[in-house]
Amino acid sequence: MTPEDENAEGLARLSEILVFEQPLGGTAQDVVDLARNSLGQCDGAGIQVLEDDGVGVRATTDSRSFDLDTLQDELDDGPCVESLRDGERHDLEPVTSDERWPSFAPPARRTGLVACCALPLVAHGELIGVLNLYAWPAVGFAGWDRRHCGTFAYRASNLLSSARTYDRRQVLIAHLEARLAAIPAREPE
Amino acid sequence: MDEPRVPLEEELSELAGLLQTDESLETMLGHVADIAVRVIPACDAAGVTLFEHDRVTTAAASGSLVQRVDNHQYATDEGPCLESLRTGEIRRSPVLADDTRWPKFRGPTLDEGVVSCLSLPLVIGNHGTGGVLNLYSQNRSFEETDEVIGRRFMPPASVAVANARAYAKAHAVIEQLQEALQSRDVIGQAKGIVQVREHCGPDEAFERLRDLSQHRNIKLRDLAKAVVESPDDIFGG
Repeated sequence: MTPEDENAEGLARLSEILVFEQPLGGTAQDVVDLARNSLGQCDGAGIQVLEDDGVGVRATTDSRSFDLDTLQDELDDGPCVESLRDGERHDLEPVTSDERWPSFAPPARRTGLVACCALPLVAHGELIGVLNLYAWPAVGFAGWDRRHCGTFAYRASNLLSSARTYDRRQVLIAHLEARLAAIPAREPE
Repeated sequence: MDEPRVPLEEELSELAGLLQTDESLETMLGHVADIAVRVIPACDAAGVTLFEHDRVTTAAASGSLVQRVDNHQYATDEGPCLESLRTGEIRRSPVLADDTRWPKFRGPTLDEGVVSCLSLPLVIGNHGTGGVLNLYSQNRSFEETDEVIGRRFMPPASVAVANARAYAKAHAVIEQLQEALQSRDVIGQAKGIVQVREHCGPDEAFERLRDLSQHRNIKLRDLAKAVVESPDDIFGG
């Protein structure tokens, strides 16, 4: 399969995800797995979806990506954190030569990380989260299709926005059902 | 070969983001029909037919022509839409005037000025064919190139329609639950809670609520609301 075919396949599979078959976390997991499997040079990925009070749902492809997402959160430093602040895309490549994120870069480099990229997820004009892509091989993201990654993030944003909207409805239904169950069906005789 | 009138990839992306809290099912499905008109070269008008509770209905349309032509299919019980719905396969009629498959549907549809049609089934894995995207043209034939684009459009359109229906159902459930909650008299609910907790009859429960209301100097209704929302705070856990 050519890289172009892989790109098209990844986008096609993205647009075939049903948001009502699983909670938002499951959809986020599908998206992040697709990112790793269909975006060239991407070895691991993480997604964070925002709710009203900050990051709600998180999903990662593997433990290294989980550790790197967590590291950025804990240090409050790194391209992911920056993307969530300004809604812009941020690349860190190579990790060693970058001074924008002095707290995150050294420990990230020690894990073997060569490059990473944070893509903001924006749907209907609203920042709804971030997609983090990680690369460990020496080649990093050299030669990768940055435009396609942007397209993937755009499509993922729309999908996750729909999934979040649906998920919020399900949460409200559960809340209303619980309230209804807690009170008697009719006034006692 | 005709290219889509707008980049198909961009339009497909739009399909994934259809669910918005302030839009009805009809509006959301209308977006699908509008996108089909934009991306499929021969298409002048499009609509989404849904199959629910053994009934077919045109749930959204890009214009009044769609509803009229769909009605001819429903009335004659034949046509590309119904056949596509029954078989789960695409039905294309490049030149309707020469098409002998649906004789009862053909006449009135030609009278509407439709010269060609294309029906794309909306199929979701195990969920079966839940509807059909019907495309009509008054100017030119749907060629194989239109069908090729339609085939690419079908999976995300099917998903978009399925997502929109699920969302609409969830919305309906919410409305029903809210209605049910509102319809239950809050004092009656509170009385029921008191009866259960205090092992007493309805009259005693009401007396208890009234005494508490006077003792705490709050309105009976407000007290009842507090009892319903958080009985442990009123009576202790």
